[in-house]
Amino acid sequence: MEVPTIKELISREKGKKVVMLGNEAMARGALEAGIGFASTYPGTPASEVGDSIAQIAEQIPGLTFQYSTNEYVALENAIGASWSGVRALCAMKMVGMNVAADPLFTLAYSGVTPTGGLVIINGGDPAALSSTNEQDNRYYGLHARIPVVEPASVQESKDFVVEAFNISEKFDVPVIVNSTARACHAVGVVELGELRDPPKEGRFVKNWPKYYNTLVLAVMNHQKLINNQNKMINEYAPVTKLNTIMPGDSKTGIITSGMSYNYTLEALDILGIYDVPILKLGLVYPLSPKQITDFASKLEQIIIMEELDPFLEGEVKKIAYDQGLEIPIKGKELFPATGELNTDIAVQAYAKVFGKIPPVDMNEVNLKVLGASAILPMRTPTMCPGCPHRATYYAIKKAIEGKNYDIVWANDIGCYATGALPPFQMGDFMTCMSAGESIAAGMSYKAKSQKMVAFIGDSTFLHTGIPGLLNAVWNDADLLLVIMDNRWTAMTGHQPTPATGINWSGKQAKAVNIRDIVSALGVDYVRVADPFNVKNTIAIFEDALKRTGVRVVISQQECLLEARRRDRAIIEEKREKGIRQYIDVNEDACIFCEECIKEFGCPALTVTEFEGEKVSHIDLSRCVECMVCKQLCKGCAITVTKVWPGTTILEEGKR
Amino acid sequence: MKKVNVYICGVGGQGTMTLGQLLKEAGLVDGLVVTGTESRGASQREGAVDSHVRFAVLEKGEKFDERKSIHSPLIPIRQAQLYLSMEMAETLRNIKYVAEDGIIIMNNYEIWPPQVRTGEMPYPPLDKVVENLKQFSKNVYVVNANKLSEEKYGDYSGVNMIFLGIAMATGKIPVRVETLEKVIRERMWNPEKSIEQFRFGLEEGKKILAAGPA
Repeated sequence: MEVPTIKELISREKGKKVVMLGNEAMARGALEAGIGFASTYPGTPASEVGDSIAQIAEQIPGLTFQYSTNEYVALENAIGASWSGVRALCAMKMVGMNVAADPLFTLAYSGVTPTGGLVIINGGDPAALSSTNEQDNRYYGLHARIPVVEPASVQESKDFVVEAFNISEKFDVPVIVNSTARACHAVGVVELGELRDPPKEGRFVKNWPKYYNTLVLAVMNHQKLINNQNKMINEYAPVTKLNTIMPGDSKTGIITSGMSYNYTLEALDILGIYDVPILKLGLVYPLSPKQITDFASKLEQIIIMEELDPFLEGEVKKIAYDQGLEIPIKGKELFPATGELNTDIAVQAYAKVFGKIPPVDMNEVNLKVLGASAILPMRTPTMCPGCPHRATYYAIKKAIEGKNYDIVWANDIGCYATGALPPFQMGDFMTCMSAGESIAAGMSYKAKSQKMVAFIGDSTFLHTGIPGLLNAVWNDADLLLVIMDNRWTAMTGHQPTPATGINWSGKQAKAVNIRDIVSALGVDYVRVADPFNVKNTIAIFEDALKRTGVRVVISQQECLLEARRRDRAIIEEKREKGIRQYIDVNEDACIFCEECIKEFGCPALTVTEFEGEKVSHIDLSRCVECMVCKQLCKGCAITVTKVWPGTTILEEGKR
Repeated sequence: MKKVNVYICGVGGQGTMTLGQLLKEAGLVDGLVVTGTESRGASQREGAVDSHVRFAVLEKGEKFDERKSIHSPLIPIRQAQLYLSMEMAETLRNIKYVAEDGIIIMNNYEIWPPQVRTGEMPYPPLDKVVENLKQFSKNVYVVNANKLSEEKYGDYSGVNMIFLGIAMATGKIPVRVETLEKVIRERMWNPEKSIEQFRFGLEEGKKILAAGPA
């Protein structure tokens, strides 16, 4: 299926309504704001923001896009564009903000330019569905004194980005658009606004005190930041369209934002409550004391619904203390601070607050589901059929077979993290981008009787892995680093890396050689393995594991999903000409050792029972012909039959 | 205002996202309030995935009321009038969403997770799955879109559109058949074939529904 909104992303039909993903809507918002620069390091849930812009950037003169090597580089590039007087967008997932935090804080001191607003889109992840933590990045706003905007609908995802640019320029400060995974991945209707063309080019206007932060200059810029924020709190926050009030006569009022606003409205509808005043905050930081006290003036109680930490609760309570507001303010005593919220959780909480009985007992339903789904097998994510990572893990497993190694497995962020699950179980810890290699290096000094093996993807290595490896060499660590090089940032949707050989638009670009980088870092032992060559790869790992010091094996084979996608036309053409290739299990030769299933774990292979007999089978709709199973098959039972025009499978099969 | 919720689940790669997108777009064309959400990111191939599709339909002469409309992209528990599952066992995973009188359409097609393939866990038998589903709604319909596609087209290329056709046959989706066909024509890379598959599914769906629940 064609991506539904690529044409609409750059549509000039103002007022047209289209269905969009939250991330696409934020990208559209940036285009309506007339950005001339966008950068990103892909990360779920924010990946599609950059991907959308990548698909259309060539069609907008004056718009420069880049997949950056990591988030701080992405932000620094965006700062450069902003300081040249051009609006700049930088998108990342929430943990990426930790990487970008270094420039972020000082950027807040310097600010932006009158025509070069800077907006950071930050994808949050309550429930940690694709992250290693749930961190609440609204605190970055508080910490760095940067405004934080939070959309609740797909329409707002677009509109709020446009407004974020206006705020940025008006108050000389970068703005964070905080969008949780649910908002990023929500699909809804967007009414398009006007597309604004970016300027052809920009120019940096020198202003030493503004941009050169140290000593008294830094202190002065810090004060300027505080002054601008106070101006914003007094002049903008009380009247902004980002915040809305739904009036009501109830003495209990609700303050909420983002997805929690949606859950609130639906929960109240389910409970049949329609008179509660609701203050919906689109600007979640800074808050206006005036707006909060006005809203609270007729209330006897305030309920605050928000996901993750009690951020709004804390801010509202600060205001309440300062303003002498003496009514109960309840938040996290009603709503959990972990995981994702939803309408059902809201129903339970509001039922308690308003003395109602929920029409559906959530706990009862959950218990019933638990009972009914006990027969349901787990479905943990696994590597795809033909994944080169599976072949790499398999080779290591074979290389250590029968040896008495006590190995610590350091894993990292990417598709290969599924190697921690059966049948490999090669992941003892996973922390953050490229942490595995350095934690393992640190361990190697202390846990001396254990062998350290760390895995890192090509994109993760190029993201922040280089300094860690350099450090390991310099400080003489004892570690085998396996670079799982599949040529793409696969997990987040196959974005290119600096080693892929193409840029964001698919055009040929300089490809860095990972082996050269590793050698240049001072690693003496570097081997490149092709994991689809099973025997060789096992031999390489056997040798690498025997040695000491920093060793690197680059296991290099392109992600087959991507390779097959690219070669689809060739495969189709061959098929049309009658050239086919069939992979099958020869029933007579199969000894049912299940090496291919239990040890290798390819999802395309199964052994079933049919009329009391065991039957082995390859699911051709899933097999991508990596040919690894053929090499590891103990009975040599896996056959490949090539069919040319004019022959039939039967004839060929007999051969 | 009537809220109509359609829940679609399956295994990554089966096309639950595509079905959800087509329905949402058709809803927009028909002037309904539309929202929903999709599994993305870590739920790659072989993982459990789902798509929530939500419509708000105004009765004739009714005025739009924000407090009574749909807002959350997620369907509240026990509120999906239509619960569609592309994979047999997966039907059970999020069955909390189905309404008491909701219709469950289950594709009788098995994709074995790793733990089943390695023999650590059994794959549940069809009759047991149906029995457990019936604890949530009596309207369980078992279809086999994969088999239908294989018989008619020689492969699984039609599964998605056939399944969509069967879902439309329930009459629970508040978009017009013509609208959905228009969207299929615009969005699918092989429109004519997709329409044919969809219509085939619609006819098969009528038969399946006429035969009554399992």
